[in-house]
Amino acid sequence: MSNEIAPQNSNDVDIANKIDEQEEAANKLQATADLKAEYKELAIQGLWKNNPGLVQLLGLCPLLAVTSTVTNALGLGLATLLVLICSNATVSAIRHWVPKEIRIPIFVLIIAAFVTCVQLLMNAYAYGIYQSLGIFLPLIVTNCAIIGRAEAYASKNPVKQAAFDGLMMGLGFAIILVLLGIIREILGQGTLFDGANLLFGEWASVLRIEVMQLDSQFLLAILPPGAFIAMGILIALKNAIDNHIKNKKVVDTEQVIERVRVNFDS
Amino acid sequence: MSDKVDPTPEKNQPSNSNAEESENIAQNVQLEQEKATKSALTIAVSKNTKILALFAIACTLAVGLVSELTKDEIKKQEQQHLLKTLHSIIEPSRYDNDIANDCIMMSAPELGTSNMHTAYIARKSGQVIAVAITSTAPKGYNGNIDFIMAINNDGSVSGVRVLKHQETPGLGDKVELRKSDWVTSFNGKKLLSPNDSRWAVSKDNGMFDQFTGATITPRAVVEGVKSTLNYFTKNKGSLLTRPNACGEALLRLTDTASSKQTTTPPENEAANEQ
Repeated sequence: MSNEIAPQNSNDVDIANKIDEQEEAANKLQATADLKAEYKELAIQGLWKNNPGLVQLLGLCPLLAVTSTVTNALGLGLATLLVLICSNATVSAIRHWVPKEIRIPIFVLIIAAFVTCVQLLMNAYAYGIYQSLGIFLPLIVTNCAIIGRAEAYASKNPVKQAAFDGLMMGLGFAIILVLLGIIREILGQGTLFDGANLLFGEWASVLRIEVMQLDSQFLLAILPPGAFIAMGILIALKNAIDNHIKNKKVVDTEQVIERVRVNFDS
Repeated sequence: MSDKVDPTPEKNQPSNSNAEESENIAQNVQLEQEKATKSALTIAVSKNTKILALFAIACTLAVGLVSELTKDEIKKQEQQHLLKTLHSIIEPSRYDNDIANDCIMMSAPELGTSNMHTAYIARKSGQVIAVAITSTAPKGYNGNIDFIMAINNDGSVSGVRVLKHQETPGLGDKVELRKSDWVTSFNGKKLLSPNDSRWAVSKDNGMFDQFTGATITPRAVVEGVKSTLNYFTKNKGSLLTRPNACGEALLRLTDTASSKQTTTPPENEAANEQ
């Protein structure tokens, strides 16, 4: 005798199937929602909460060295972004085949290979910016933000999420580079997008904007100490915004008063 | 008393041999375990080595492939960059030859370093119009300042451009054309004599301006340009008779040399310069 209870009629079977389908659909919806939430969290982490430049303070050497102009900053930012996406995706794709003991040298190999490829491509298709960035292009290999993401996230997550994490972290880093470049170029030279033709070709010469006429360059903004000061201001600004948001949340929760109706009727 | 033998050792005899046996067994087990551990370690190490080697090969292949794909484009970009620089110091309408592939190599202390320097020759209908020489000003504030200068047939300067420097941004970097037009002040200037005192910065009673807050950089460039101009004026005859050392001509030369399988002695620089 079987323990299974046979359905009374075909209606019961249909109902059971419908319930299964609904459950499956609900699960799918939940999975999609979870994935969306994860992507949103990755974006927030990369761009704001865990920004490689502002919060983790990684890759400060190129961050401070090449941000004297927006063009240089953008060039290095795009190169780093490309390396981050590619290395994260590759590390994630091979994560099951790499033994724990040798994961770091393998990650370094992968990153170095991608950096060299990016360097060759920039040499071929953006020769001006390649010359302008000089040693800081191959130095991307030593950027802790890249190996850090490979180790902390990419080696433990699927390819899509890892690539997206790379994109967001890279964007976060590039945005800080460009912001620093804007501040330093305006204060130091009174221009914006000076030498844009080095990155985008001759047509980009028209992008150059004379923001203000300076009789002589403001040296502090151009030299590395100026980069440190500007970076400090950006970090302070981010912390101030974070504190403001935090305080606002506290005030909002305090303002929520529960109303209770008391009925004295027996 | 002495005849009596203590029976205890006899009783203990078999237990002693048992202890030895068990000790041997324990040692054997330990050795086996060590062997197993060692072999496991060896296997793990060799496996990891293979994986690492595999990734190294894969990465090398990837880089090699990209290098191969971009090789021609890089060459083209470098050639374009060189032509752009040459065009900025010698008007393209003044010559009709392939200037980037018409050059000579030279080495002299007057050119700032002991490295080989290149001189690109501009010709119109076979006649030399101007020569663009790469040179170095070694006394920059932060080291060498590499530049290229074009000298007209009459000994006047056609143009100067700084190629590479490590001078202080905002101060010494005014030697770059995109930062300041100071470098154009050499255009049309001539040396009246090898020790022409006018070829100095205004602080040294010369005819070239210095930068606000920076005298060392312009002084170094003026000295470098003067020295290069002196060298060219002195050795012009011997320099222009040298064989082509660039581009297709150089390729043809190397092909001929390899087909003949002969080694030619290097040119005697000193002899050429006398």
